[in-house]
Amino acid sequence: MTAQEVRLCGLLLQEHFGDVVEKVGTHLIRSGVLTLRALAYETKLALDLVKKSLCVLVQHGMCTFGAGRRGPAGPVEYRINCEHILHMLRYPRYIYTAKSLYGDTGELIVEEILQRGQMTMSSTVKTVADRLTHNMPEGQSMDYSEVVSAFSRLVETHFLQRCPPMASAGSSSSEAVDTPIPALSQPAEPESHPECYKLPYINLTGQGKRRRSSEDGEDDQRAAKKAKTDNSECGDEGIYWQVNFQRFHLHFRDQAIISAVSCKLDQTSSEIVRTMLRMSEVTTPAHAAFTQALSANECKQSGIKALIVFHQIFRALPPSYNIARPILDQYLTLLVDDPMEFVGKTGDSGGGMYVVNLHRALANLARATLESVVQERFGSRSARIFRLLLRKRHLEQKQVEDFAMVPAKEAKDMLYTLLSENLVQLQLTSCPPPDYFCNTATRRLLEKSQRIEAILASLQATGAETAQLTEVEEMITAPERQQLESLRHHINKYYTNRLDSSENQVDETIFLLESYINSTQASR
Amino acid sequence: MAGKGRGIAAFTFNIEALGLTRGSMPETQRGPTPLFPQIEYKPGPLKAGEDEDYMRALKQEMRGRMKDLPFNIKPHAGKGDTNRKAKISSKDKEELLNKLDENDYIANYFEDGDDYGGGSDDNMDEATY
Repeated sequence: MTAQEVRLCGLLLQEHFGDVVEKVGTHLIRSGVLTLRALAYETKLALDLVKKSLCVLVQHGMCTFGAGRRGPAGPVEYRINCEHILHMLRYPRYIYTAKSLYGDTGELIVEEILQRGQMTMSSTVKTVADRLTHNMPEGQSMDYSEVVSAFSRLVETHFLQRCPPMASAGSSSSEAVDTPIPALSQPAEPESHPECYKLPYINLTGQGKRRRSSEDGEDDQRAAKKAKTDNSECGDEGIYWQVNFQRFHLHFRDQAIISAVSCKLDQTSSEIVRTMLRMSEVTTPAHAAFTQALSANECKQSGIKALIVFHQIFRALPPSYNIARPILDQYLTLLVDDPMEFVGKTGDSGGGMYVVNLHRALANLARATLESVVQERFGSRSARIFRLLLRKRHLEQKQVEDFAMVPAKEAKDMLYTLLSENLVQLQLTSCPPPDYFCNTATRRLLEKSQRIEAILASLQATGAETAQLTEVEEMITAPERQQLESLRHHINKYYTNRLDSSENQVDETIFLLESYINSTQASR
Repeated sequence: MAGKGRGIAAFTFNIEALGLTRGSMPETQRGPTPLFPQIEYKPGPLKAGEDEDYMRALKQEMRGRMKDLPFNIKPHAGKGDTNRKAKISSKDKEELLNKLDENDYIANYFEDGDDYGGGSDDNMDEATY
């Protein structure tokens, strides 16, 4: 873990779970593996706070526990899963993807499960039905069966999966003795569980309930609590579901390839590639493709994904694409001939045997991303030099000047700049200083409003009455309030929104580069 | 030892022995380094569209919502004072207001000029002459 990644994890934990969990989490990241007592001692936090924090982290799949160095008889040790923490950056993308695939119902299901880490099917269905009902016109409500159906589709396509079963550490029954806590070094892989995607039978009929009171936040909690306690009635108690991040990542990767094809060639070509990817979806594991025709070794080396026969592609195309066989043949030829090498042809039987070159495609996408980063930061000439270096691997400075058609001094400067910057590092540099737009009067107003907010917060925490709170609020006059409002709007529009959107978009780029790196490691 | 030559900076080491010349020294600092680096090329614009806006809104909503969930562990406040009601006496209120006005700005920077505010005569209780 780099120092930046550790810092980012800390910030994410703090943003979502507060300072206490951040402190516990960050310390665990830095120390590696710790027992509860050691963690409490070293963070100087109260034991119950540390326990609660660990519960939160375990609940969200960000921390695992297991038998420690002293074996099953010794104290349990905890280990952080940093990858899962970093996934929090991508939550909006997971939720939006679920929305695009399975509508509002799918969107809310994934959102609820992400926020709570893990949930039973029945409590998810009830909570989501309530939320959907709340947004429907008066008199209408969302039937549980519709939500159950969306949930089922998400499970069938592997976007949701059962949480790996925990050893029953707390139970005092004789069964507990026979199921020891697994060693921490071997965390349970969800897919190693054979029933990972098996839907439980639940006894659940009815509709979402409409909330009457106005406090949404409290009702969310109350509804969730109620849904939790009602679990035992439905028949799926103890069966918890989590989001399958890997599956979403596969989807993102496919999307990246499909949209690259669409940009480079055209929509029809991209639909063909989408069809091919979909055909090989359920049958092939994530990183490699193994077919009966080709030997396993060959597949592994070239990182191909399923061998698909021409006729199969033709039959599997969406009905709206009314392409005749010879036209499909032409499209496939175009795809195969394209320098991006998305699709390859490996044989002629059955009308032609085609593959999607995943590793090659990812490598090309990663390269294009890097080139575009260099171009944006250092200009088009530097980008030319960079592209050259990528292709030729080793070049002397003189050769760079000649190939890139750039004068000697410029070449020298640019090469030095590229060298001194770490080329694979992406940084946001577009953020202007925070208060250059502020004149002193505005700043005074901002400080006043901040102090009032602090006073209000501390009064609320000590249980002040509404009348007293209103008194304090009225210390800001109406015109001041208006000024504050327009200032807040300005800040949001030009800074907050752009920063938040940048977070999302930088993460997209990071995902592409990570996918490429992962695919190189997998194909070894 | 320093400043033997008038007005010329003298180093405490032999500069030639290091193979350096006076001319190759970096420029003297004229103040603190800038908060953000100077960039030669402005970055391209962010992607803007329905998808991006929706995801941005999702991010902001989640941030707000998660603060209210039970997973947000709050540190222990002072012991046993969760039920104490706060009373604001008029004395406290005055103190508060005075505290809010504490600053080191020069007061007359905020004064309006003499010609300012020749505004509307509507809604005035007093008669105008």
